[in-house]
Amino acid sequence: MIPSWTALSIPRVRNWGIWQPEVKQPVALLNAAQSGPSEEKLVVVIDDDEIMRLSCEQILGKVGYRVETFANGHDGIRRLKEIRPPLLVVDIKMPELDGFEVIRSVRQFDPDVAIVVITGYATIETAVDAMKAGAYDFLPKPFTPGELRMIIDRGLERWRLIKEAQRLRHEKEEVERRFITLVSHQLKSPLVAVKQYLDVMLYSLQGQLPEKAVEWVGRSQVRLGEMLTLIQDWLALSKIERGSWCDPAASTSLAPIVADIVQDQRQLPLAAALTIEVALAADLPPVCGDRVSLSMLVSNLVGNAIKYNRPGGSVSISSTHEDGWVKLVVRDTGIGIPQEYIPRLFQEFFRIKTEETQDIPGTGLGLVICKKIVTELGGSIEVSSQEGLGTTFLVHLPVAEMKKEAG
Amino acid sequence: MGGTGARILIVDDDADFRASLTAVLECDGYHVFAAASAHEGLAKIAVAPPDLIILDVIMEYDCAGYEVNQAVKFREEYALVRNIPILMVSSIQLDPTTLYSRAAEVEMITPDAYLTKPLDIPVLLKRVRDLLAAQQQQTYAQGLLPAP
Repeated sequence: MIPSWTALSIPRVRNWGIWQPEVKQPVALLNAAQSGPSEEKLVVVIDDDEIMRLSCEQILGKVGYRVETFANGHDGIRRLKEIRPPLLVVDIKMPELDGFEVIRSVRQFDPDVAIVVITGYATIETAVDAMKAGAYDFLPKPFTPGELRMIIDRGLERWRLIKEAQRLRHEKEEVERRFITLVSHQLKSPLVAVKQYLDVMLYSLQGQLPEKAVEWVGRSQVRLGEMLTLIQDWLALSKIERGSWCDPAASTSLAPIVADIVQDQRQLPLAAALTIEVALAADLPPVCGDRVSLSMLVSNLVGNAIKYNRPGGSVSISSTHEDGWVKLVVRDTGIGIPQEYIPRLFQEFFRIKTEETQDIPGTGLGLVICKKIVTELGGSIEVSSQEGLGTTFLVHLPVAEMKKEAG
Repeated sequence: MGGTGARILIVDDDADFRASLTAVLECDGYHVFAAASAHEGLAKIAVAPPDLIILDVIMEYDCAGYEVNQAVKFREEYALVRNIPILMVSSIQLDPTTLYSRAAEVEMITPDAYLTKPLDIPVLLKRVRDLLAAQQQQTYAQGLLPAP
C-alpha cells in the first residue's frame, strides 16, 4: 500500500518567535549617475535613407519619444552600447552593414532592446529571417505614422515588462540568498553569546576557578565550537547548492592556497607528530575556480589527512598537470577507510564511528562540500584507501586557460 | 591592566554579548558604554564621542553596522568624529561586494579593523590597544595634543 504522507503528523508551520532582521536593500551610498538604461522613451533609428530618418524623428517626437538617428550600422551600434535604449528601429537594406548584421551584433550585448525592422522589400522570408536574428517586430514600407507609433508603443511596453520581470527575479534571488545568511546568523548568535561568557569567565577569573570547573568550561567551549563549525559548513553547503558560492569563471593558482593552508593546519595538535610534505609542479597552471572555494576544498582534504592520521605518520600534497587538467593528490598514512564505507563518504552527515575515530571532531559535511565544489568547478574527486594503511584523495580540476579558449 | 581610561562604545543588539564584552573591557581598565542599535549608536557617537567604537554588523537590519561605519567615516555631519577608530565584529562574514556593487561603496563600509565572533579575548584586547595607540600617535602627529 502506498503510504499516505498527508496522514503523517506534520507539525504546522509555527511562528518561531525569533526576531528576524529586516532584509533591506542597502541604501545607495553614492549619488552618482545610475548605470544601465537611462532614458525610457528613447528610440535609436538606423537607416541610410535620410527622409526615413527625418520622418521617424518627426512622427515619434510628436508623441514624446526622444529619437537619435544614425545613417550607418557602425555609428548606431557604438551609440547603442553607450545609451542602451529600450527601442531600436533598423532598416534591413543598407550599404555597409545590413540590418541583419546590426541585429546580430546588438543582440550580443543587449538581449532586451526591442528591435523593429523596417524594409521596402517586405516578404515573408525577410520577416522570418529578421525575427530569427532577434527582431521583435517588422514594419513594411510605406507605413502610416499611426502604424509606426503603434508598433513602437508596443515595443516599449514589452521592454518595460522584460525589465520589470528581471528586477523581480533578481530581488527574489537576492532575498533568498540573504535569507540563508540571516538564518545562520540567528543560529549562531546565541552560541556566540554563550561562548563569549565562558571565554570572559575563564579570562577574568583566571586562577580563581576550581580545576574541575575550568575543565568543564573548556569542554563546553569545544562543543560550542563544533556547533559553530556545523553552522558554518551548513551555510557553505547551502550557498554552494544555490550556485552563489563557487565561481568557475575565475582562475586561481593552487600553490599559494596550499602553502597558506598547510601553514595553518600545522597548528593542529596532531600535526606536530606528522611529516607534511608539499610537492607541487613548478609550472602548475591556474585552475578554474575562486580562491574561497578552492581554499575550502584544500583545507578540508588536508584537514582530514591530518585528523585521521597517527603519530609518526605522514601527509603528502602533490600536484601535476596534463592535457588541460590539474591533478591534486592528498595522501596520508593514517587509519584508512574500510572498503564498505567508501561509497558513503560523500553523503551528508556520514561519519565512520570506530574506537579510533570517536574523538576526532567533524561535522560530516566536509567531503560533501568538497564534492560539490569540485563538481561546480567542472572537475572530479576520487578516493582510494586501505584500512590501516592510509587514504588518498585525487582531485581533477580543469586548467583555467583551456576553458577560456573553449569559451 | 592595559586600559588607559579610554572610552569605548559597544554597538551591538545582543544584550549578552554587550554584557560579557563590557565586563572584559572594564576588567582591562576601559570606560565602557553601549548602544543596542545602529540608530542609538550614531546618536551616542554624536553626543559623547568615544575613543573607540566596537561595531556589530547585523542589527535592526542586515547591513546596519556598515551604514554606521559609512556615516562616521564619510558623512558630513560626523566630520568631528571622523578619526574615531572602528573595530567591526560579526559572526557572519557578509561579503560586502554582494551588497554594494561599487568599489567606492565597499571602501566606505570598510572598518579600521575586523574580528569574527566569538572573539578571542587576548586578540581582542591587543587589537583594541593597538587601535587606540595608533589613534593617539595620529593625534600627536597633528599637534592637537602635546606629545608625552
